[in-house]
Amino acid sequence: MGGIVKLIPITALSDKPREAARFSSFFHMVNRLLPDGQIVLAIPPEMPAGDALKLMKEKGYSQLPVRAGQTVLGLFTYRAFALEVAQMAGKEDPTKLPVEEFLEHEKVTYARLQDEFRSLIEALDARDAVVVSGPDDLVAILTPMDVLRYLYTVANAFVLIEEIELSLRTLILAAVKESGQLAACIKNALSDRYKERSLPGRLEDLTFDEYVALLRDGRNWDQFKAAFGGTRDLWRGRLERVRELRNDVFHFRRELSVDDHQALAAVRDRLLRSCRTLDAVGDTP
Amino acid sequence: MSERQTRIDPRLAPHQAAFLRRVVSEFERGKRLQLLSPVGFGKSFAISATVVELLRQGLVQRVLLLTPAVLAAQWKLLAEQWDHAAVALDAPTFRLLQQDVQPDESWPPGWYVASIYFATREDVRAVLERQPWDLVVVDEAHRITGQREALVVALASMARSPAMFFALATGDRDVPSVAGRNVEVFDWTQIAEERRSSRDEARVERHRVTYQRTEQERELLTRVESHAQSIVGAAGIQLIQRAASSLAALDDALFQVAALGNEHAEELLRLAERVERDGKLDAVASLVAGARERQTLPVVVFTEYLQTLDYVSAALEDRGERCLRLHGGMQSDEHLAVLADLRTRGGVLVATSAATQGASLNFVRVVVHYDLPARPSAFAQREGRYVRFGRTEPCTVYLLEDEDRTLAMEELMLRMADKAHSIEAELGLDVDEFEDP
Repeated sequence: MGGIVKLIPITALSDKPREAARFSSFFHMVNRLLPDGQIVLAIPPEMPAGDALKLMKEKGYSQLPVRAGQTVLGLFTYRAFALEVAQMAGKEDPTKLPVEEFLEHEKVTYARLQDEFRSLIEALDARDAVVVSGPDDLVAILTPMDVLRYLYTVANAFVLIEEIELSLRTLILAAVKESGQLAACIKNALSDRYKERSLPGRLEDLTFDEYVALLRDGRNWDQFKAAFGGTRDLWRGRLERVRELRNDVFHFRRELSVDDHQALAAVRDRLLRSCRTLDAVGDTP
Repeated sequence: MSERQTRIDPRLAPHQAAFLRRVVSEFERGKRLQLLSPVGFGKSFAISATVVELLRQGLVQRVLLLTPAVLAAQWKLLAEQWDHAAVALDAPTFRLLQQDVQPDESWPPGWYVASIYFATREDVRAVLERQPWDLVVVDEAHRITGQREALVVALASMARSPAMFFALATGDRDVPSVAGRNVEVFDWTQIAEERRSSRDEARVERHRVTYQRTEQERELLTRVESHAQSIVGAAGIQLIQRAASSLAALDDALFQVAALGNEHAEELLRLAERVERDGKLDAVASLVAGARERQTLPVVVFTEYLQTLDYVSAALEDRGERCLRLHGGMQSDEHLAVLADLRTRGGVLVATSAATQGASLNFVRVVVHYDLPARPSAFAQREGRYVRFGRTEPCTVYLLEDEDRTLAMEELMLRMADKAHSIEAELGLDVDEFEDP
């Protein structure tokens, strides 16, 4: 790195005071999107572009905010650098020029920690990054990838559970095509639960627990065996895990761990395999 | 003055009470203390009681306990046993504290429990080092090595005088370097002999139960074993360990490998999915049913794998057993509720070894090892859950043995379990000493 220009102090995001939002902290605002422990690195305007590029490569960043004192002058990005270089006529080495010569032309978009992230989608699309500022200072750089990662984390469990539930329904229906078969399976598995109440007639009226009960019932398994593949013992264990995780997700008890996501994905992949097997033999749902 | 009178809870065993008394009385001398404790002596229970007593007497205001991540929830539960709410210092709590407390102010007084990894993360450590800790407790200090050791020492050195530093070692007689110099050692291994002749140990009976695998199982396992031997490195051993655990654990591993396009795994997976009857599962179901009929509940079934836990607990439920589940993915309040439920209402607990670390299961009447861990020390950890001080009822322990000895490793694991037990019982040594570093 060029010896004469020093980096503006590196700041860990979690060391920065975030705006207090104790009662509304579960709303999906900008502060929820920022990855933990992000290191915000700002560079001074006089830093040679070559040094800045080296720094970006080293840290895996696609942009760096350029700051003079407390003022963010703009963003230095690979794109801005390339566009400027393409227009340069002289023989001057562009990597020796200061970064302030290569700032994004578009005005920098600023956001606060408690802003709605939806309002930033256009800016993220146009500029690839938004500068997030706290009460006194620059806090973070938000990129489209941060938003995508966050939304994926939030939505992944719901999507997996949806796929699991719909594929269970599809496979059960594929297994009980003949009239009366479904009703008989429902009766076997659910009579004790419903007692005097009338049993549900359609699969869509069953809860997830009831789908599982249909499969777990020993009297029903022969019916389902061909569609699901494997054994009742194995499916029973797999679906037990899904049932527990589904309750945690839908009752918002806790955030699922990586292992939990993997467990859901494994069951989903099993069901996909069973569905594809049916697809391959040309069966219809 | 009454505040300074040391309270000894009747739940503490004599050696635990003696420890608490000594720590409290000598606390202001600021000595560093290392507690050496074999598994099953309730070191975590004693430490938690001591910390709460120090807080109650006002000798300390802020305590930081560093522990392996897997034990963090357990420490919170231990604090709750003394009606004390410890703060689980994880990423969300850390963020909240950062929001609510100005950088130049101290965090609220209390007992903070953090995983060693989290506490030594650069940004977290920088903040922790600014807090005025009165006491830093390092759990399983002998397991901390390398670069992290220096970070933990630096963090522990931040404790204000009078400072106390517990280096809790399980069986290691050498003072771990993380504890530093001038350490006073409190050694419970000396009372191990007493335990071996005491009724607590004598009331635990061990049996091997043989079961017969079906022909389909034997074919599958023989082929898995031969496939595993062709795999270089740890993956082959892991595959056999899963095969020795349950069909579900094996099936899960095969599915993952088959998904990568491995045709051999795909073929084995198809074989696994055709196994209609599971001899081991049947054997365990009948042991559990027998315990229920003889009214020797609660039963604990131990396993190493979550897939086995799901598989066994769902099967036992379908056979009409009242089944509780305990695994590492559960919240600390759920852990506490499950153990309280088992103690008061009985039934069967199917648990992963990791989830029971630190828990006291001295009230269970029957223990079934559905599978065995690969390391003798891990087996000793399991045994430490139920061979404990305070046992009031006898306990029967079952190890399962395949009549045909289909998997060679299963036999080795059984021998290891016997060895772990005999080392402790006959030689008075800890199994850790017989392990590779």
